[in-house]
Amino acid sequence: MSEDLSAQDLMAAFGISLEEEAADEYRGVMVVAESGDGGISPASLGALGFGREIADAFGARLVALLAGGDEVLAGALIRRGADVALLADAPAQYDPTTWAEALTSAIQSHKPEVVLLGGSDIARDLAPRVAQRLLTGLIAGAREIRPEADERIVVGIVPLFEGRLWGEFACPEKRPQMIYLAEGAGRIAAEDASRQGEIERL
Amino acid sequence: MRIAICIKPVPDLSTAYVSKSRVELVEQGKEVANPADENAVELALSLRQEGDELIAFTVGADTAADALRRALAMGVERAHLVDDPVAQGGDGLADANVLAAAIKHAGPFDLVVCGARSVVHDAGQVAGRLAEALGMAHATRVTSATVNGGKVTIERAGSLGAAELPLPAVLAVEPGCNTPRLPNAMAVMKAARKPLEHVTVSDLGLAAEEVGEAGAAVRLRLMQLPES
Repeated sequence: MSEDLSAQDLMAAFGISLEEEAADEYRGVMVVAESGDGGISPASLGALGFGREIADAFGARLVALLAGGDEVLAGALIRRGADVALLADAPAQYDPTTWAEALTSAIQSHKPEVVLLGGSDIARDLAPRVAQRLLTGLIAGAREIRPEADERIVVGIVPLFEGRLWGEFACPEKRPQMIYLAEGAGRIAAEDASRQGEIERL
Repeated sequence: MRIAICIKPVPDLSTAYVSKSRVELVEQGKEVANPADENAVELALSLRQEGDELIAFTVGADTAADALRRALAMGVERAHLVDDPVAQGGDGLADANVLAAAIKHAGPFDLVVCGARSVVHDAGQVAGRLAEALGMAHATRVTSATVNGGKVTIERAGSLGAAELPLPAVLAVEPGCNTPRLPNAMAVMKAARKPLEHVTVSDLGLAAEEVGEAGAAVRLRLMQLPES
């Protein structure tokens, strides 16, 4: 043959797109945890419960990202279902710039296939910025999630038109699939003092 | 100051209804400007000083023109409509790509304002995305703003409170935080006759894969009736 086949030609011939290749690199679930009043916020705990459900469905690890270095809070995250508490060097109190950098960095190093945030003002502020930085999809305001293990996607159920209809949304190709929950959504798991996990620093 | 205002055309929920058999929203009138975007227009108008220029931007079909003209009637100088069919059907990512490009194309701007959420999704993402794409600071759920020197001081609804941001900045305005001025009949008529600037995706130098349905990362799979 006089023409060389490019890598893209070969991939096309085998039915593999560049995006699918990239998607395969992403594994695991990441939940962004917020703290306040000496504990993990209820919204974050709710997201953690959903995150555990997704991780179990996918047979993947659940990483909880926490700004600030508090190992006591890290322990709380593990007892509520995280396999890893990832501590980011950013102020525990929300700061848009450092938190966006920390979340971006955590995603780039850990490559989670799903990133979940609780229904909070911080999530509304942080998630869109990071989603755009990564040019990935964001399901905003999900009241419920449903992992689809065979496709490794999470369906987010989002109230539409002031709650008159619910839409099921998914981010089938781009990674990570980012989701922030509606206010009050999530499932808080019971504390399991016997749960083991790791503490990592970003 | 130059202020960009993003207007999202949405169904008129005062006349639309849900068809239970088809599981869809049936619209009975024209699209309207998202209510929180009218609050954003009002905030921009309240900040306007002599010599400032306000431009409204919408991504939508020509059915969106009326929503955009609402901003003109309220007092915004110009309106840019990206009604290129290729740009339709996008999600947060694709729409932000288009809006950011349209704003850059008409820029530079000191402030970009939009509604914090729409009556479609009740959860917003455009402000943070635009801020990232435009390299600006941003804040959401803004209820009031004052500009002083190169900074904007804001109040917010919810848990994040007051803050000061450097300009240029993107502000997502909380629905209901102010009373959007009602244009009088003369203003409405003048707005109806004012030409809109129609913008295409190629005007903006965007690739087809970045915009519209092709550029969307998130897809709607199914509609369901809410469980009681």
